[in-house]
Amino acid sequence: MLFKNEMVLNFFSYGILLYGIILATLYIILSIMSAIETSHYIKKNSFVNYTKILASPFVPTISVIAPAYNESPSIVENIRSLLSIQYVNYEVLLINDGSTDDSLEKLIEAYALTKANYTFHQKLPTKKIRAVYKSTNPAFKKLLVIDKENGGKADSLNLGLNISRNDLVACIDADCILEPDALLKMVKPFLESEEEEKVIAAGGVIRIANSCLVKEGKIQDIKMPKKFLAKCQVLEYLRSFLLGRMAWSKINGLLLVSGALGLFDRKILIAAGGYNKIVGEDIELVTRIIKYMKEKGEKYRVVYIPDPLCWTEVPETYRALGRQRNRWTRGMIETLTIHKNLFFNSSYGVIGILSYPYWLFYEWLAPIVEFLGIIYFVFLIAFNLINWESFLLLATAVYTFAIMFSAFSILSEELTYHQYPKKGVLFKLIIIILLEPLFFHPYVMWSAIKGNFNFFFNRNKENWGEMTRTGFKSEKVS
Amino acid sequence: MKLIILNAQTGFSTIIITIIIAFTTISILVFMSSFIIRYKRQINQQKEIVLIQEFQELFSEFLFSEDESLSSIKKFKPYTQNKFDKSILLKTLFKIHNDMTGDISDKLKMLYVELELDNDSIKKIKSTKWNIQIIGMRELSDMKIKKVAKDIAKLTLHPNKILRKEAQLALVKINGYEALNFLNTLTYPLSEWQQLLLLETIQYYKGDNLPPLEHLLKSENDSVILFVLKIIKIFNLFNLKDSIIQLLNHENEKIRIETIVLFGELQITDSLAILKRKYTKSTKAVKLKIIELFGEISDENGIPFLVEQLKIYDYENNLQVLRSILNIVGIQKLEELKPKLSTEQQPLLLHVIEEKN
Repeated sequence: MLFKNEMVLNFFSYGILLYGIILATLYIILSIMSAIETSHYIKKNSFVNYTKILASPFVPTISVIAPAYNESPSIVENIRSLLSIQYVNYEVLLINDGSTDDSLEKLIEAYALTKANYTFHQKLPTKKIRAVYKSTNPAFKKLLVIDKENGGKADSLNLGLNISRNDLVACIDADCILEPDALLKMVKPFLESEEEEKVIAAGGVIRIANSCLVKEGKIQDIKMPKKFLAKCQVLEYLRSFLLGRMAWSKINGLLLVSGALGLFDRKILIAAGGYNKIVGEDIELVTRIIKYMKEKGEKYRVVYIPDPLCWTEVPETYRALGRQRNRWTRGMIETLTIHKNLFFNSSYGVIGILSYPYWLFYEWLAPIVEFLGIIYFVFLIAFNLINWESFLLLATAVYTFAIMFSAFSILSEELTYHQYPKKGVLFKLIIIILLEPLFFHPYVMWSAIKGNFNFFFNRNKENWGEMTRTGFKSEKVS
Repeated sequence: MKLIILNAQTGFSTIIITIIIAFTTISILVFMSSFIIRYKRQINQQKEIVLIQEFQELFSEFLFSEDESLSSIKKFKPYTQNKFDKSILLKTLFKIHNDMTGDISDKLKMLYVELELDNDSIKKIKSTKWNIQIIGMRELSDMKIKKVAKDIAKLTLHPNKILRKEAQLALVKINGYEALNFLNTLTYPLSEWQQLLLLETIQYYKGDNLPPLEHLLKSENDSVILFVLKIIKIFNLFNLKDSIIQLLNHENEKIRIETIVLFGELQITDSLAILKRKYTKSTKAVKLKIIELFGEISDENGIPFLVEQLKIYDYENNLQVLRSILNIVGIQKLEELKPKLSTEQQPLLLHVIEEKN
């Protein structure tokens, strides 16, 4: 009996260890690939003079779709940011998703809006429109505000897709601040794509705006966030950038274009059925359009742009962070569930063979395995089965690996975009690197476990289908 | 029984300790590298500020004093001895050059050649690194150094796509329209991006001495045809009207659409009768463009054709028809159509009227 138990426990120990080693190896491979691809991107694009393209009458027209719900404090400024993008042909479709605050009134006043007669073809089902507003001021002729019944972010984006008449649509969060040249950089891969391989989506790097100075809808001064959690997320974002979006893009296996900013081929989005009204509408959409292209037998690319294109605020409290990560987890599981036929399905190419299994085993299961490891650890302590020396050595190895990995992400940032040039920032980041595995990561893991629990045991579904922005307070507007 | 399999006896502890030491050492080295890179960048930035100030004075003296040009060239010489100084000198030189034309531009080219910076650029195009080759091509083509055209021409056949495209652009910058000859034999698609860059470059020549383009409208490479249509639009090449009309029979829908758009740009009213005949058998996207074109260049004679299209309800089609009618006859006459419109079409009428206002 004792022998059998030992076998089981050893199997468990080796299993967790092996899982950890594979995960670490994958991280290293993805990082190396990302570093090579980023270096290539920077070399290639260092010659591009985007401003010259600005003047061209041949650039495609883009509809910027920005859904907003109860964003009264920042809505006017954020729309100003969208109206000052460096691009010739574009329109802004602001979808007010039944806000219960005074967002609409503020917009009407700030942009001299009046109700307009407006028709569109309902290609995707959405909640009812209450009114469409246009500005009487020619300076804001690019702006169209659509007031609708609350239906959630996906519903609002689908309405935007119905209304847009352009080939390309940029779907963005209304609380994001775009870099002025964001559209120019995002449209480039679409224009570069050659007939045999169509670019269907492009996403870019999202940076953290907490504590940054924002003036007239533009980031004026980039600052490191003051709050610990936001600082940890800076590090997390840098790491995810290093960790592989570029690598996935290189092998055309990218499954996620952030909901904060993405540029898409509108016709393909509509043909694939538009946004699904679930929590993780962004990852689900990209997975679906890729499947759509694969099933049609058409070659495609989903492109990731390593340039910082968009700034957003991140949660600064554990509560808000927990809700956000819980939501992300539920969205990911739902997407994995909807598209389970991708699992090791070679007819879907890279996404079937690599991307989907990676998301399943390492994005979804990693926190679960980690959590089980903790339970196992507690069990071993309870039954006095632990070899403390070995445990401490292994824990230190994991901790030092995490530090080394974060260190490389900082080095990568220094070598590439160098967004935090101020003195002392590097020291602050090193302190965060040392603290983050102890005080940030465990909470993120716990939130993911709660997300799993909520998904499978049907709790916390009251927010589903509704816009679930946390509305964390901003320090940015000066 | 002590689980957590690893113990000192197996030698695993030694391995783990080695791994920890390796991770820690690498982390420390990476942190130090980050600090060094940051420090070096700061030092270089400070040096650059000082150098730019010095160069501003030197360039002012060089560009605006007629007699002392040659002597002021000598003042730049010391800066060509050091790699960093030279890179800032080049950066400043090209920054000024790109903003200037005429005599000043020529004078800067003279400075570039006198300082033998062109030789450095030539070395760059012979580098084994593609990004360095591109920098060299950019420098030489911005300065229009004709002697390197042959070397750059060879690079238009390079297997590296990025390099090949940059070589095409560089050649156009150096040789003007003559360099568009590569279109005759181009077998791979010319991306929209590359087309934009080429157009931006050829616009500089203002349409003088354009080479014959007619044969390119019959190219087997569809992207070449689309590119030539853009050139025709930019330079209003109305004389190619007959060849353009032939493109309405092209099998590529995008070419047919761009041809119709071009009819509007060039005001080719002869095309309307042909398009009317082709309308029924056209694809939806082409139909929309035909209707749009009627709104742009037709007179009241086109109205019956447009009204005919309102007999069948199709949102996009009908909306465009109403827009086109509005463009031709104005709001008042458009409103006269109201009784003839179905209940589904009535809101479309309000939509286009408001759009116009």
